Amino acid sequence: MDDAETGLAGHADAGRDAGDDAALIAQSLRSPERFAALFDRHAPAIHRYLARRLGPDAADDLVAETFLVAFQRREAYDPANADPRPWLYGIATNLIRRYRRDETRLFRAIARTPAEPAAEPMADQVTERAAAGAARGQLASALARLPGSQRDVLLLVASGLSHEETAVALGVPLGTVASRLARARRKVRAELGGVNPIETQGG
Amino acid sequence: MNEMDLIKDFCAEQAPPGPERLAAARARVVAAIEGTVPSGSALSGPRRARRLPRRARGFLVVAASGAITAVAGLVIAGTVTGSGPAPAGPPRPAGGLANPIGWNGNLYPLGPPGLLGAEKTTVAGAQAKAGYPVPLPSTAAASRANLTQVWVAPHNNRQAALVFDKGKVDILMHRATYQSDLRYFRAYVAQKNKNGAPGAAIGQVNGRPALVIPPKPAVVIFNRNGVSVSIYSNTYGTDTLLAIASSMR
Repeated sequence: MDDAETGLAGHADAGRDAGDDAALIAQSLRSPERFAALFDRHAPAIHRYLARRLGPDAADDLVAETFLVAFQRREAYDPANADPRPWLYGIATNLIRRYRRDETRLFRAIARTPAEPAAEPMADQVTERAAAGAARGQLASALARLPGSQRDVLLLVASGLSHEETAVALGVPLGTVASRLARARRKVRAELGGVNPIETQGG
Repeated sequence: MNEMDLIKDFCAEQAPPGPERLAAARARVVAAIEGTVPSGSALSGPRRARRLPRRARGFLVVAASGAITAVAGLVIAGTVTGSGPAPAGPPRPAGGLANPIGWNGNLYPLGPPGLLGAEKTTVAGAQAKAGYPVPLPSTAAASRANLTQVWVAPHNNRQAALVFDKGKVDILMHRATYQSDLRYFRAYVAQKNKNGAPGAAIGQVNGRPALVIPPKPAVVIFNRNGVSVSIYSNTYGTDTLLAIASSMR
C-alpha cells in the first residue's frame, strides 16, 4: 500500500511556493484528495499557533477543524490570493474565538508558572533567563488581559503574518489592524512596566 | 528587545508538532476529503488505480460521516436537552455528554446542528428508520439501564448512534459498505504503523475480526450481520469496549 492508496500522498509537495498552494486549492475542487497536501504544508504552523493560544491538546482538535472548514469553503477561496496562510490563520482564529476563556486561563496559568532553570549555571545566563522568565510571566498576564480582538492581531503578527495578511485573516481593514496592534502593544508595554525587563534586570 | 520581540519569542517557544502529533488530525481531514470524492469524477481513468479501492473509500467515508453524525447529534443533544454545554464549548475532560468521544463538537463548523439530519429517537425508532436491528450491549459500562440517548440519521447513510452513561460510551452503527472487514482493518493498522502511530490492532468480537484502537478515544469497530458497529469511549479502555461489543444482542 503506497501513500496514494492510503490518502497520505502530499509530503513530496512540501517546499512549493504559495502560488502553488492557490493552484492546489483550485485543483482540489476537481480532485479533492489534492487538499491533503495543503494540510501537510501548513498544519504544523497552524497547530503551533493554536497550541500557543490554547495548548497542544486543544490544538490537536482545532487544527483538524481548521482544515475541515477550509476544505468545505475552498470553493470560495480567491485564487488571486496566492498565499493561503492568511485564510488558514483566519479560520483558526475564528475557531479560537469560541474558546476565549480557555485561552485566558492558559495565559494566566503561564503567568503563574516559574521560569525553567538554566541548563548551564553560568551567572549571566541565570540572570538573563530569570529575567526572561519574569518577563514571560508578565507578558502572559498582559496577553490574558487584552481584549480578544487585540490579542488576535498581536499574536497573528507575532506568528509571522504581515499587517496586510493579518487584515485578510481577520477580514478587517488594514487601518484597523494597525490601530489594534498599536493599542495592544501599548497595553503590553504598560503591563511590562514600560521598560524592557530583560535589559533592565540583566544588564 | 521590545515588547513585540518578547511576544515573538513567546510564540516561537511553542515547539512545532511532530508528524505523530498531527497524524490523527490528518486522518480526520483525509477521511473527510475521501468522503467527498464523487464517483466518475476526475479520479476515474488512469488515476483511479492510485486511489483507495472502492470499499476502502467506503470505510473512510463511513468513518468520517459517522464522526460527523455523532458530533452533530451530540451537539443537538446539548442544545435540545439543555443537559450539555453550548454547542461550541472548549475541550473538556471525558465523561460528560459535552465531550463523550473526544471530538466535542469540533466538526461543528461543518454545519449547524441538524444539517446532517440526525434526530433524537428511541431504539425502536432507530431500528425503524435505519432499517436494521439496533443491538444493545449488556455490560456494567453500557446497557439499556444507562442508555442516555438514541440518534438516527435516516438520510445520512442510515446511521444510528447510542449514547450510554451520559457519553462515557458511544456506539455508532451504519450499514457496512465494504465486504472484507479484515482486509480494511489490516489496511488501517498498516497505515497507522506507517505513520509512526502504532497501537491499532486486530482483535475479535464473537469470533469475528475487530479493529481495536487504543485511547483516546478507545475504539472498537466490527461488523455485526452486515452492520458496521463502532464503539467509542474516552473513559474506558479497549478491553471494556470489547466486552461491550461481545455482549451486543
